[in-house]
Amino acid sequence: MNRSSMFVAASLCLVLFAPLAAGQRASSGGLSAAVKQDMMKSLERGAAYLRQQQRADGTWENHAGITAVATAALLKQTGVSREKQLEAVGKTLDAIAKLAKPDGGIYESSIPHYITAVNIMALAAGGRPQDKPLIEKGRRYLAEHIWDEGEGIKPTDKWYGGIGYGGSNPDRRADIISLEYALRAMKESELPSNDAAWEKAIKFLQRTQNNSETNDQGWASNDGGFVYYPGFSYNTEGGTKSYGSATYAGVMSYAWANVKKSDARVQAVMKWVRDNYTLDENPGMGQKTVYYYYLVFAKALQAFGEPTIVDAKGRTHDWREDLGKKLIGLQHPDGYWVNTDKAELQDNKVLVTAFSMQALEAALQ
Amino acid sequence: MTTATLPILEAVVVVVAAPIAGVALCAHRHRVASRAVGVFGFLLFASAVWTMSLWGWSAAALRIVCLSHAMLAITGLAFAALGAWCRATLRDPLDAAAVSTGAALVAAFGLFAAGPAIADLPTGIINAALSSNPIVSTASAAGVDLLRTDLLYRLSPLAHRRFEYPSWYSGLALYATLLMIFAAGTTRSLRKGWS
Repeated sequence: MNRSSMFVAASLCLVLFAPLAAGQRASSGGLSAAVKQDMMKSLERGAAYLRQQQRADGTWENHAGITAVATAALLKQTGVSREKQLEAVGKTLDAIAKLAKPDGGIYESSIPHYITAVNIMALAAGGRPQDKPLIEKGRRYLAEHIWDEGEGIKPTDKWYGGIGYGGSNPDRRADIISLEYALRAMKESELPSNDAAWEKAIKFLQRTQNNSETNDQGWASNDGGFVYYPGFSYNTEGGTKSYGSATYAGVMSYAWANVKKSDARVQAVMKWVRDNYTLDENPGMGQKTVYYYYLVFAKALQAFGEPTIVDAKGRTHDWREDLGKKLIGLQHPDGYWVNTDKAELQDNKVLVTAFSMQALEAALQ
Repeated sequence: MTTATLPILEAVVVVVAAPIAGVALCAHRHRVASRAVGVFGFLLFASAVWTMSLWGWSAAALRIVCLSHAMLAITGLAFAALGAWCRATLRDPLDAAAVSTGAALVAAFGLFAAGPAIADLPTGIINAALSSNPIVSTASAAGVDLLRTDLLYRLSPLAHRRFEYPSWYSGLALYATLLMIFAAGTTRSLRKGWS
């Protein structure tokens, strides 16, 4: 073979095999085929654990919220037919539908806003035609419980546009996590993007963000991240310093509320994300609620739509690959995940497994 | 303060005042004690009417007000009986007041003061502790999510664990039982006299 023939052959090889090699990483963002396969296997083990723990009536842990999160995790599992999924959770969706109240809420008794939000997500993931009216009423229930003039709260009030736990609670307070759940449920149930609830929510979001240029609250600094509610943070260092799960909940909420990537508020929060990129802990909280952190980390970055994050030191992170490897490493041989820190029910294997599965599922999209 | 705070404040007042009232009334004749119970009943009735006027007259509000005031009544009588029993047992009325009020305060606030030690206990024990708490029971009967109120949610690790509020009937049953035990103890001690 002469030199020119060799050149032609090498070029042909490049043309033929380069797309194949690129294809190995093209699906699910930048995931390599090997990690993707491991993530799918990890999901299968998680799903098997959830099915093992499911009660005869289709529910889990005698808890409406845990049941809904586990149901959504199984229904969103990639690579499983809808028929097979409904075989596992059809009864569960029936049980959830039975919780529907005349006002649109879907809950038993306590924390009605949270429970309605996760139940809407489960019903929406199920996609059954008979659940559509419940989903529509439920999302309206959530949209109407976002605080506004109807509750006597003016746009200048720090709670305006937020949502709390609901029920007859003596406090009037909202928080970023309750709002994130409500907005996620509204988004997944396809509340129209021109609904007034989104705009109201943005008001609360920007008052929860440490970004003094857009936050009219005196306490706001400029790290770009989010706190639990205006003027209060769970960051273990105290004060109103931002922390991980609240911040990713903020990123995701901005995305759901159709705030553009180029917006100054989104740019500010993404700076926090770059400055604090880690999967070893929930930044500012340690191991506390770290699995909820993984969930919002995945959903927020998936909604943001960038396959990589360049951290403050200039290192490029393929967040999907990082998260996949991290969660696979944390999975127990029996298929479950559990947190060593008990706060917010993260000692519950079913709930934490469902969170982890949903994080993996978001990373695989 | 919002209207939902009312049952909580009333429960706190009952926890502090009832044992002292029990100590004071123990030395008096039966008729005085009966009148005091009547006054307590009237105050509860007035409070219920006032609460209803604030919450609005509806079947749901009526149910909640009735249950929470029944809980207030039974816990008030139980703690008063405890005060009376302490007075019938101990020579010094100040000792009786201190012991009975101290016990009532521990029952009401011990759960919140214990902090992480309580939060690490199994869910069943946490639920039992919540059932025996007069303030949680009254708030729960009034449909108030006490542990997720701003202050407790920020301060108490208990609020971040899995728990179930007591049903109204379990709280009523527990304090009715305690009332009978304390009343029987008082009667027995009064018959025996201070030895």
